Amino acid sequence: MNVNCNDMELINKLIELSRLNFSEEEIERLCQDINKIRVLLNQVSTLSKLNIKPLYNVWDNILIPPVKIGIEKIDIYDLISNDRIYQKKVKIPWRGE
Amino acid sequence: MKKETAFSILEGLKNGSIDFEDYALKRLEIIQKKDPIINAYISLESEEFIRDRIKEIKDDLASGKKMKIPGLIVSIKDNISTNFLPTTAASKILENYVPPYNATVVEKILNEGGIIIGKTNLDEFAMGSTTEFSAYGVTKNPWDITRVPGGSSGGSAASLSYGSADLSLGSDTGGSVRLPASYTATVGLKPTYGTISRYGLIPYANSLEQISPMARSVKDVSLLLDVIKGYDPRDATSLNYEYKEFDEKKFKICVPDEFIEGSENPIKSTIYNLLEKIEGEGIIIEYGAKFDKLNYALSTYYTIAFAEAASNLSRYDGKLYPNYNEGHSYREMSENTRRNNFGFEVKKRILMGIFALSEGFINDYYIAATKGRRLIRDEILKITKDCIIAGSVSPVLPPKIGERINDPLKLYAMDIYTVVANLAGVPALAMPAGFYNNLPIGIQFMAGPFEEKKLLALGSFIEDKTGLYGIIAGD
Amino acid sequence: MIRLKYKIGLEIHTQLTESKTKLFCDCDSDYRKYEPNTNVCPICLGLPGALPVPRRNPLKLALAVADSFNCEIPDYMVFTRKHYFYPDLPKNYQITQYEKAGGIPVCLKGILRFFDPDKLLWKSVTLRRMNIEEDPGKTEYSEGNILLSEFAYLDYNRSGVPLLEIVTEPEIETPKDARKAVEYLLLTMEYIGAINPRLEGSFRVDANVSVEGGERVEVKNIGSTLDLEKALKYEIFRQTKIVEEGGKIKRETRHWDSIRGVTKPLRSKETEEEYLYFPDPDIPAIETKPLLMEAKSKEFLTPDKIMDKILMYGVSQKIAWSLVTVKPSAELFLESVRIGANPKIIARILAVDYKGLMKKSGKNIHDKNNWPKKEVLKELSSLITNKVYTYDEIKYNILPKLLENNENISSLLPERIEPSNLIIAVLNEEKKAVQDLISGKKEALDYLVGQVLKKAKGKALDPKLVRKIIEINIKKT
Repeated sequence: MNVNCNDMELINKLIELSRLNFSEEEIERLCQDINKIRVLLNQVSTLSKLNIKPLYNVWDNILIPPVKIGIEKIDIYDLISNDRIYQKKVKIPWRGE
Repeated sequence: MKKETAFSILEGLKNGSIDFEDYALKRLEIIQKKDPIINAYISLESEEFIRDRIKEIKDDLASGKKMKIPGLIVSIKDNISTNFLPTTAASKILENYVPPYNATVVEKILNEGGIIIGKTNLDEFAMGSTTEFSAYGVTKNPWDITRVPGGSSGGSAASLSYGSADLSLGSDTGGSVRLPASYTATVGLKPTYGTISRYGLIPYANSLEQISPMARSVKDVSLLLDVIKGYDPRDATSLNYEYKEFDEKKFKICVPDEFIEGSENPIKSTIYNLLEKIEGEGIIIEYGAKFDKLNYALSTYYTIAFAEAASNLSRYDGKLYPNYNEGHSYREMSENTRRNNFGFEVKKRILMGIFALSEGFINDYYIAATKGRRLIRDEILKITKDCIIAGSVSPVLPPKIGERINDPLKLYAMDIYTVVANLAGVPALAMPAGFYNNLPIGIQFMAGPFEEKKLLALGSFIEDKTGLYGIIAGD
Repeated sequence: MIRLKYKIGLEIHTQLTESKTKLFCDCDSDYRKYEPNTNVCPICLGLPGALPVPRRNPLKLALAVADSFNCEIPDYMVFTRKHYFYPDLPKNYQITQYEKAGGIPVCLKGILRFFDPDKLLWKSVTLRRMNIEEDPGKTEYSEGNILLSEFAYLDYNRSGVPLLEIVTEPEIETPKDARKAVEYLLLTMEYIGAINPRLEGSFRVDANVSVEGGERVEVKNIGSTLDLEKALKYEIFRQTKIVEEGGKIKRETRHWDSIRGVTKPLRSKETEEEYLYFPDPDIPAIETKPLLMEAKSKEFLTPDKIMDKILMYGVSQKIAWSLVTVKPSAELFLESVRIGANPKIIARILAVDYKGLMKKSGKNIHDKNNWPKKEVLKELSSLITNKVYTYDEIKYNILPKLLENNENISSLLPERIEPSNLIIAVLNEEKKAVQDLISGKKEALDYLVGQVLKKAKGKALDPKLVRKIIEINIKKT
């Protein structure tokens, strides 16, 4: 792509992983924005070496799985129209990928 | 100025001075008149639906059912699932999606007699601070339609501010109810993480966000909080808890420089003035406390939010939702659907989230951020043990439409004071502090976990003192 | 052909078919009985806003399995998300327990001891890890072919069913041992009540083989234990041949084609897979101890413990193992012996004769209801020990009838008759056979015994006794 961008290789990899797509014009903006955002996020990298336990759930809490959750089954037809269903199965284009 | 609070309406409905139908249908009229300009709503209930709903509520009342908000008008942010109105999260990718189930909070509101009038606008998937990133148009600030109402719950704030609803539900991931509250002279409370069920909330960043009550007064917010709170087995992060009791009206407030000094001057002076006004009568204020960890709050917050968002949004590939794009293969279908139906800001955040989680970067970004989060949380827990933290909600006055969204850093900087409560899990209240050139200015209070009652008692005391409650823009 | 040294490691994906619920919702784990897409809810369809809530039963079963293989069980388990786009994965991420990204699995190290019934001894393989994860939905390809089909048809009934992934160290020595190890593992899980291994698709094995001097080759998608042995034999043969011809074994992943009986290379991806693992923010850590205690509140009889118990009654190892491999028969053995039946008689009935009859008549030997009641067995046993009937009389006259009516024995008991008159009658009628027997044709004796039994019309006769009497009569002549 004919775009002025230092990080094109990285950005292409991220696009591939995300299943997104951008026009050339968007890519240019994207590249600028991502550079800026990386500058912001880089501030956090200074913490990576600290010997601190990561905090994933804010209260470090322990779950006791409940006995009942009370959620009812639903009908797939509530979500998608009939023409996207084949013999009660959801029909999706495939061709190997 | 006309003052209208949910409490005053509730009283009127109870004693018969306000008629259920007249009142509710008048709200629809107001919406029809004002919303073409403000654009607070994405979808609306019909008149017929509302009449039926009122019949239902009246029958319940007649049969002696005790309800907390019978007949009050509630607007709900469009990222909270309702099985009677589409739920789009303001994204084209969920166009026409009507969830086959209700969020737990929606069930609770219906059970307590609330009338849900419509679904309000937001930044797509709640990713934004101005409500400009909606696939369904920008929401305007009812105080000045050239300005943004704040975001991402801008539609909810605007719906309250121009008097179309008594109560509203927003969601707060990094300030998404507090920022709009402060820009519209309304009130928003981000509750303690785990105290409001997230079941049915379309996720942006699961570990940070809570569904949050909004209203035109602190007392109204308490009323709505009381309706929606509580343990829910359908949310594994929901806690079995009680909010801490609080009777004594004694408050120690501390104002760390970091939470106010970087704000625009009118904001600083309005807040300092207010604090001065309330000092004494059981309120002690301490200035000059330190919170130097604010330096990396934004980077910590955005790293975690992006990572969780990228993961949450991977499900939108078209296969199970009404809106999708054709493709030759599954890869093509999912790429086309995602390319054509996500907005640019959402795509950017997905890419950054994948970046933060990908091999070679995860330690320096996502994992580093979870460490930063622990440092920030521990520090906030320490400070709030001793005092309620006060400061600005936003460092800037409501920006002009288009002013901030072209530079991500400028946009993200608006959240600097609000993200801390989400990182730390603690409750935070935003309420009116005053006005500058007819633009609302808010103040933020942050307390320790489960100290909602204390926070609301303080807020209630302040609003009585200032008289800044129940305000409707333009009236 | 040269003999190369090699090592085998296994990755066994087992469905907790008997867990009743899916891993994160209350839909049915037994999805096979539903019409497509009717065993689904907002959680297992991954609808926006629906949240995974770990269910107790699958977790308890997984912990019970880990415990029965002497696993090191961490204090907490932590779930992670694994991201990849696929039609059968509603959220486009799978919730699993990946250690390297903050996840903690149910088992970190254990030992799988398994019985080798041919050599009659116990062997073992080290378990590296066990983790629980959700099964994706089921994909059908419009033209049956994964590469060329125009459409994929999705049934999400299976989406969210709990899978227990069990990984061994690469230290298994033969394809046969690999099969025995997996069979034993499945048997243990069956005893615990975690799996019905006979359900179609209830387990899947990926095997890796490294021959001396070559790199690791993984064979994916093996659906039965017989296929596992075949696939490994084929793979070792294939690799040995390459080495013999001077080639090198390169690292690759292959696919088992069970119809053609060969392994085939999988399309290799241009880029390395990147799964973006991180801990699932919707699921806090789960303490394992209380769940394990609850799981162990009822005693699990694992195959080795059952085997020991049976051996204590003086039953041979071969017969004991034969009982153990069929759970209802082993349980029935212990129950009937406990109420006083004779162990050797019962073992023979259950492990040999009745089982044989059931198989012959096409009855499911794994269905408890197809076996007789313990009281019936006890009665049969005492009829034999009290010499009312001989074992063979029971075997020929009663066991076949039990197939139809295994509730009530008294109506089945044959009237006992004295054989002498019948024998004399038969010998008088069957002059030719008698002549044949005298002239040394042994088959004639079988024929004559058969005729006598026929004349008895279902009344109890001991064929051995009949045979003896005929022989004596013939000798007299």
